[in-house]
Amino acid sequence: MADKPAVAGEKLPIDPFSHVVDSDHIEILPTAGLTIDGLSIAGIPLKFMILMTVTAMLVAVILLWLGKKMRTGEPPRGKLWNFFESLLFFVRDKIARPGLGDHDADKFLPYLVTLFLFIFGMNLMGMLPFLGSPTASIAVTGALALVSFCVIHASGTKSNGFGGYLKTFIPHIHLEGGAAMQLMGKVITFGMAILEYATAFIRAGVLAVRLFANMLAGHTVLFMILFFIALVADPNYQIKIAEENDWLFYPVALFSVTLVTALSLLELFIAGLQAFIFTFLTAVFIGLAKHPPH
Amino acid sequence: MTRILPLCFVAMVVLLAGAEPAFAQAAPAAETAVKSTGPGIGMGLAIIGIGIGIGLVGYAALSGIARQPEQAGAIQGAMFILAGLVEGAGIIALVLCLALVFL
Repeated sequence: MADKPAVAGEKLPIDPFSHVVDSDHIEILPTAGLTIDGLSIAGIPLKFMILMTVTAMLVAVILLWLGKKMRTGEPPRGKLWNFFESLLFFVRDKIARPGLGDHDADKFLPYLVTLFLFIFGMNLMGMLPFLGSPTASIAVTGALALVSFCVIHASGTKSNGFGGYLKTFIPHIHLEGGAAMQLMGKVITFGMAILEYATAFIRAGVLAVRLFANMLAGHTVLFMILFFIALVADPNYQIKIAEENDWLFYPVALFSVTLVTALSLLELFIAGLQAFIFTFLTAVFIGLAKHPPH
Repeated sequence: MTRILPLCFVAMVVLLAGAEPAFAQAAPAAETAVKSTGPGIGMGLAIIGIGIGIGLVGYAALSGIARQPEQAGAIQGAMFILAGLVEGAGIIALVLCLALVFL
């Protein structure tokens, strides 16, 4: 961490995002020199790419194995089989059926299961030491949101026809009264239609940014709290209080590690919750696109 | 609400780092202190929003469960989704403030 010594009067050379964003190296044990370097092609960092591929292969292996087991038609036996089947049931009963209705749920279940397991796996990669969660990059979450956007509007277009789907964005406002009230009704309808068209794009954007910000903020907070130990112990940072009191290291280290352990449990919960919210909102938006409320 | 304490620490470290005077030049130190104040205040306001939002969601969920304990499961499910959405909006603001400090 102490790459450049601090200069008195200037900002400290701390980069809180250094361990959370994409990079061209994987540091297993940096102090022992175990670093996998050179992970970049033409200047494009590859760490997140590798982690995403590992997660995708894991999800594929799990789902293919599960499919093979389910084809035999027997009831699930054993802990692993039951665990993965319970994940599938969770996605079907708590995400697909509430969002899409019982009729359409099975058609979109493959996409929703893949989305949920992929995002959950990527978020959990951040909890493994020395790795990182690829969802802490806006490019990854943007791509996922783009795919969801395409699925939502493609299914809406297929249900209602292209012109019909565009018409569903225009709300119907009924006002009682004469010509002036009718005119105001048309103006309001026009304004709200513009808002609805914008919402179609903004919802996908917010899906991406919500997942990205949660993962980035969570791991950055964990890093900063652990970084207090380095701040106090490393003379390079020239913290006045730390230079005068050497015993500060012990309470700060104890407090920091305890807090980081508790926050890591919260991070595990957030990893699952954000995957659930992304998939649930995708399911709800698909349902709204297929059967518009007005 | 569980994110207030650690994020206050982050804000504190950022302000400390920005306001390290070291009794040398006061002008650059004052400049970095002022530069970090805006995002710091923004973070505090965002946390207030998150706290109020999640508090209201929790209030509604608890009153619902108190009225009809047999619906506790459904109410809890909806509570988590809504709390996640409110927290998501606030954390977007927090991350943008943090990015402002370092950009």
